[in-house]
Amino acid sequence: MRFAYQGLAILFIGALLLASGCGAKSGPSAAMDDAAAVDKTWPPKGQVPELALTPADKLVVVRTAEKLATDNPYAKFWQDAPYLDVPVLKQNVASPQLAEASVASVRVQAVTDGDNVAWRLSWDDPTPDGVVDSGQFSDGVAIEFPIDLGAIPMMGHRGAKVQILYWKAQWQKDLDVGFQDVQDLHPNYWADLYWFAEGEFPYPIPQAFEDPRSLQWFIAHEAGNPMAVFSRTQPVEELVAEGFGTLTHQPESASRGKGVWTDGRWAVVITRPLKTSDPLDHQFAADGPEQVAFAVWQGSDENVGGRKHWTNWIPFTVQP
Amino acid sequence: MFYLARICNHCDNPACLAACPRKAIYKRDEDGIVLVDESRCRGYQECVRACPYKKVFYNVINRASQKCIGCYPRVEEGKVALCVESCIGKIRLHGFLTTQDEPREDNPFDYIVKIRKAALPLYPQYGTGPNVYYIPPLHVPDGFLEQMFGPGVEQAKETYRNLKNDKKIARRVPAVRLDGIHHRPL
Repeated sequence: MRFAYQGLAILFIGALLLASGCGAKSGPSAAMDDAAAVDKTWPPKGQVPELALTPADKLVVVRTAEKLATDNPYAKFWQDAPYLDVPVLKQNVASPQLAEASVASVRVQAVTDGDNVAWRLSWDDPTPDGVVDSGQFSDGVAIEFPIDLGAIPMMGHRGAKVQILYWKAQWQKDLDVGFQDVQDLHPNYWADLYWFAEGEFPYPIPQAFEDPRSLQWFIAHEAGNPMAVFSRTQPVEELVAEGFGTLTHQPESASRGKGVWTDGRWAVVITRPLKTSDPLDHQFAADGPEQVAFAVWQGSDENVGGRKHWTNWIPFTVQP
Repeated sequence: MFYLARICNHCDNPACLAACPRKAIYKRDEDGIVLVDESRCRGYQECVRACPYKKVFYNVINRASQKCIGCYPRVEEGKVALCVESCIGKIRLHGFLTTQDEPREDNPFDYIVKIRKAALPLYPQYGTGPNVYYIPPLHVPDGFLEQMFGPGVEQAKETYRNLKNDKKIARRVPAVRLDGIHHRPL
């Protein structure tokens, strides 16, 4: 009796193979042909201009008459903003900690046109890391401002909030070459079927997932997790924190940014209006004492979350 | 060779829960099921790193981590987990222990796990208090099984071999048949 069942199984599988043999080309080879047409080189190749930068001994947000570019860390006006090299420390106050620092300092410049302020952060990084997979992490940089006076620079503390503007290389890569899906990380990956998704492999996200039923297994996306955004428009996120573990995404964000990696160095620009009506935004003041702190993540060194490089508060002034 | 099916152990002291710097993992009071808060996770992967059983997975599309949910919607309706129901050999049992310290003879799970110790936790030396218990396979050498389940393997095997003569188990676990433990009809 057993052998009869086996015989039946072989017949059935044989029939399936025959049926799928004819017809349109399908399978990984078809996907590869289409993929070759789109340039997925990252970081994008291209010449960046040499910028003649000058050092300073204090941090000043320089006033410029030009309209600020929100997406060009190599714009000419950066030559008018003297830089401060801020040493960064390995975070070893709260777990999870960073065991060894791999970044020594971050170069900071800032410019304002009276309406917006643009921050340019650059640091040495031999590898541009925009892929996040199991055990692999993204490069990143963040700027922190106090919302409440006296907030400590370590993510604020209970009763004293801080605002954080966070740029992540993974999001930059999403914007530069398209949403990073499984097949971008693992080129030989293949999926037969996603229920209710349109078309066939590689089921591009989000286009193949118009039917709401097709999204049901993207659980973080369905739960409204801000990390699971398929159509990101900016590589920068605004967050608020009030101590370790309280980091909270801000749904309304006026921050814009762009990061460019070239020759072993990241340069990231993050811009924001000087004043906003959001009570969870830091408001820049030309007359008051101002403080800023920074954090840098080196993806290839497994930096993520609390495993980061950070700085204490750095005083700065805004030129009127 | 033998097949060891593993699911999340929904531990008493989950390493994943302790590792998350955002407290995005929690253990439910009502049934002890350990869950990732899918709206709160930022994909740091500390939980993935910490779980000694490697049962939390980072989802590349969601950019957040996810894990076995203990089929909690089914458990809330009084059903068993889908992996338990789907088992073709019907070798999985799913239910509640009374407490860890005061097992009751009239709870079949307490009886098998705590009182008779016929089913053993996997790698208890990790210290997380896993809540999935295995009746060790008879055909596998004790030495190999002991590094997974600890020194109770020999006694557990003896209990299992002796089932057809074991009047106490037949009384305490009503669905036991002479050829092995069988799950109760739903």
